[in-house]
Amino acid sequence: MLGKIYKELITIILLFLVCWYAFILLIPSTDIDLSVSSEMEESLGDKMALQIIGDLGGESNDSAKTLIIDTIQNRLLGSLETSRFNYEFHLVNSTQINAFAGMGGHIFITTGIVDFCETPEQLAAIIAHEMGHVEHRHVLTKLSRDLGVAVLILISSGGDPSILAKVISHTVSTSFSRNHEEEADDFGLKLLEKSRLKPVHMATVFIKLKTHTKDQSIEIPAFFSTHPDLSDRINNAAKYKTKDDFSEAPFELE
Amino acid sequence: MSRIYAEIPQPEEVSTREREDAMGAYLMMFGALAAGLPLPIINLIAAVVYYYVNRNKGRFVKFHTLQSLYSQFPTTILNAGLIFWTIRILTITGNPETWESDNPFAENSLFWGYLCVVITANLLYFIFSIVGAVRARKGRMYYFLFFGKLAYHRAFSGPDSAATGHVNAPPK
Repeated sequence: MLGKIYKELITIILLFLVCWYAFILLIPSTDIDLSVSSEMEESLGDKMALQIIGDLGGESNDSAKTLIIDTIQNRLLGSLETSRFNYEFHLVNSTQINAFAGMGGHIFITTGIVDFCETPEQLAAIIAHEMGHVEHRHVLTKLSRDLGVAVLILISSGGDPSILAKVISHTVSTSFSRNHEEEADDFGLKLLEKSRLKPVHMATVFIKLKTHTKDQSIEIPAFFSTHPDLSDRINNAAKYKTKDDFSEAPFELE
Repeated sequence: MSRIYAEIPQPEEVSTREREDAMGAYLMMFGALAAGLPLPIINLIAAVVYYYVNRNKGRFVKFHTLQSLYSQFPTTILNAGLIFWTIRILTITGNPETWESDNPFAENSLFWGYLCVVITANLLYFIFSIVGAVRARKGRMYYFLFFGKLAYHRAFSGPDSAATGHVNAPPK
């Protein structure tokens, strides 16, 4: 009798595990199938970029800051083995502390966040993180999930400008999911290492952003306010292990 | 060494009172379950109390109360696990201000799979308990997978008291 009891106990445990696994497989993944091509995403990204730059106050002509962005961009892109998109980095005239990825390789960096970062390496960490969103097509995933692929196709084919405005507002104001942030962090940390920049710069700049927000008299940086669970991500970035032969090559900028 | 099990009472040997007490073990759960929401531990406590109150009312009643009690454990643990997991997601990973765009339950197929298993387990428990109650009311045995055998083992192992040779005697 006891033998039969044990057998049935094992049967119940196995049934539980099999059912759990089966339900996991049966539940449709929330990561949608991205039926929008990279070309279409680039086209849509171009349309959005013009509008976003206009809304944020236009592109900055600050030569010093542009030089910093160009230097960082060259280093990071030089380490990127393959890419889906032709990157375009936009330095935008805005005091907001913010940087965000658009669609199709567009990355927007405010003059506010350039001033906020103490070193170009810190800014590179933020940009590398945003490149992670671009490479993983997170903006497209988010928009497709929230608004539907049909809306995106409509816009890319020259549809209603009011819908485009709505899409842009949605892109800028809402946050990525925790998984997307972690993916972008992982990508950014690896890219920093490949670019001979210490991945710990990402932790440093996150800590700086976190400390900054604790002062209630200061406006919460947009980059931070839309990026949840910063403490875990600081830990992950701080614990990132580089290869044994890694050595940093800091930017030579005055 | 094989264990000795007592004779199983046949339906005609089970009194109406025993049948009702045995049926009550299953039906009592539903009241306790409703009262215990969202604290699933309440129905487990009720099952334990019911067992201790009725365990000496014959092997038939003991078997059904034990079966009902044992089958409570997995559903209680599963339900408690679900509540714990939900609270954990809401308090640790969730940010109410961004739920509209960043649903903490999205992209968590493990959680959704577990939720489906819990719902299925509760439905199965509900169905089996109804069947168990009906069978008990008819004076019949009804064995759940695993829990039935375990309850039988506990309730019927050992010979009947009459077979032990013990005779009650007046005071000396």
